[in-house]
Amino acid sequence: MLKGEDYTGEHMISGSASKAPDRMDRKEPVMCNEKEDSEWVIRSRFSESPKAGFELLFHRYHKVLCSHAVRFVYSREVAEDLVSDVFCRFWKTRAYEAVNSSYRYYLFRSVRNEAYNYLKLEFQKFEKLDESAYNISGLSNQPDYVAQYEEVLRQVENLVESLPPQCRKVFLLSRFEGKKYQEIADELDISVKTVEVHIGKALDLMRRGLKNHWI
Amino acid sequence: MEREINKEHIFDYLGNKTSPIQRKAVEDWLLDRENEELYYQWLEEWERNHLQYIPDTKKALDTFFSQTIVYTEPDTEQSNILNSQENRLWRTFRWASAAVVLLTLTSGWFWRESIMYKSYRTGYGEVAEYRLPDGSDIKLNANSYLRIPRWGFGEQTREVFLSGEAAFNVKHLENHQRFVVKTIEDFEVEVLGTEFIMTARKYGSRVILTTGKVNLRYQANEEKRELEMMPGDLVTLSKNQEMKIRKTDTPENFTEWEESRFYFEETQLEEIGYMLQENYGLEVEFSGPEVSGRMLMGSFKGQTVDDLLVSIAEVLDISVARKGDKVLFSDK
Repeated sequence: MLKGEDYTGEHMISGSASKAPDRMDRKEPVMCNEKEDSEWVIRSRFSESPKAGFELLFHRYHKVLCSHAVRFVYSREVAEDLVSDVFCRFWKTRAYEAVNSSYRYYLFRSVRNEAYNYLKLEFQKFEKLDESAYNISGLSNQPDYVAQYEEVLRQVENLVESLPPQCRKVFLLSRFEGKKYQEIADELDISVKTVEVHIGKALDLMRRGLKNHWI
Repeated sequence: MEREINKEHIFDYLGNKTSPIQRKAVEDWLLDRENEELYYQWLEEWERNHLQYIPDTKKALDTFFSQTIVYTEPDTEQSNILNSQENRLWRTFRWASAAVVLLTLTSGWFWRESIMYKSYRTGYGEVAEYRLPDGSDIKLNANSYLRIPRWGFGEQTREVFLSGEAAFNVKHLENHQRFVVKTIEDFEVEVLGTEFIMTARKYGSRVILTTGKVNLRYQANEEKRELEMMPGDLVTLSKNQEMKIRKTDTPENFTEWEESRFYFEETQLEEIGYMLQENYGLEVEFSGPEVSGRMLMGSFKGQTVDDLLVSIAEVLDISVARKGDKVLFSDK
């Protein structure tokens, strides 16, 4: 495991951030330069040793991806699972040999897809899923455009925001922090039953609030 | 006129600090695929400055390597997929990240745990086996999803949700807890302890009972009905069709997907098309109704989906062409 070598991840990050402002006003997409700029270290490491490249990649993107995924699913555990799945697929399919885009592009897109699917499975009314069955190509409907993910994300945020304070607190403790009902009940000095009611209410609100957002 | 979008605009957009007009401008800009790379670059930067929490990256990486890969190079390890497909198949679907995607990890790894439920999922072309907390065994066919309650499973309830296809070997518990399988349809199965195979796909549902006894509840003409199945019974429920029940002498044939064989009993090619779509993510088309209406019978062996496509075409004496995930069956 690369003993004796430092990950340069943090340096790269600060490096790319400090370089970024002068690019801000460039008009043309700067894809090629850009990706080589901030990912070439990882790329070249991959070509030497996939394992080492992968570790570098993981260190570089794991935190941001988890943080991004949690905005959709509101559960740390789920977010981390989704991100791990994406990394796993990246590894197993040897995507690092094949992607034409930046790794960043691949990873973010995949994580957003997974998060979207997760939410959909959890909150979509099942009748609706069934109706779309007859849309032959609709096997796996995904948002076509970046902005549609952003819209779902915003809606989730608004919904959580709109929960009554106590309900939101319970929801976050349970879902985001992954605490057990009993722990929440003890912490807030309420009964387990009340915790259940809050959770039920929150989930129901989420389900209804997201109803019109599924593709 | 296209507005020029810079990082600041995107940051405002991500922070939800834009006016509807600006937001529209950003969304228009995003329609251009060329801009996506740049967008993700800015998204990464923004997210890094607004982390929702700090996950334990080191631990995650350790877990990743210890649980999945055990430090081997990719492709050299034995995954626990029973119906292990060729790499080609994985490659084909690499970009089909759209759908629920394959996970080939050990045990706890692919349990998507939300708070209330534990889920089991298989990707296209993947078959996996699990033991549920109550001791029941299930085998999930490709592209299937099973959800069970997170807590109290086997104690207060044994109600699960299935989408896709699974073979159940339900354990009879001392407390005689009923095991109920729900589906998207108004259709559910209740058992105490038995073996059966259940399919709940978009094109219809099916239950085949191997041993024991099954209670089947379904909705017909706005009416709830109940039916008791006996071993060897095969019940199908298709869209807009009455429920059919018939006997099959060979229920084991229907489990052939478990060993990468496929068994079709007077099945229209069109229906097989749905199966291919469900199990392998293929988009299947037919040159016309004379092709899609062809009937297929028998057992087919296919280590890979391509093998299967070829043997179907051979039997029916038609042509099959596959390009990526699109498949076309046509007359010769």
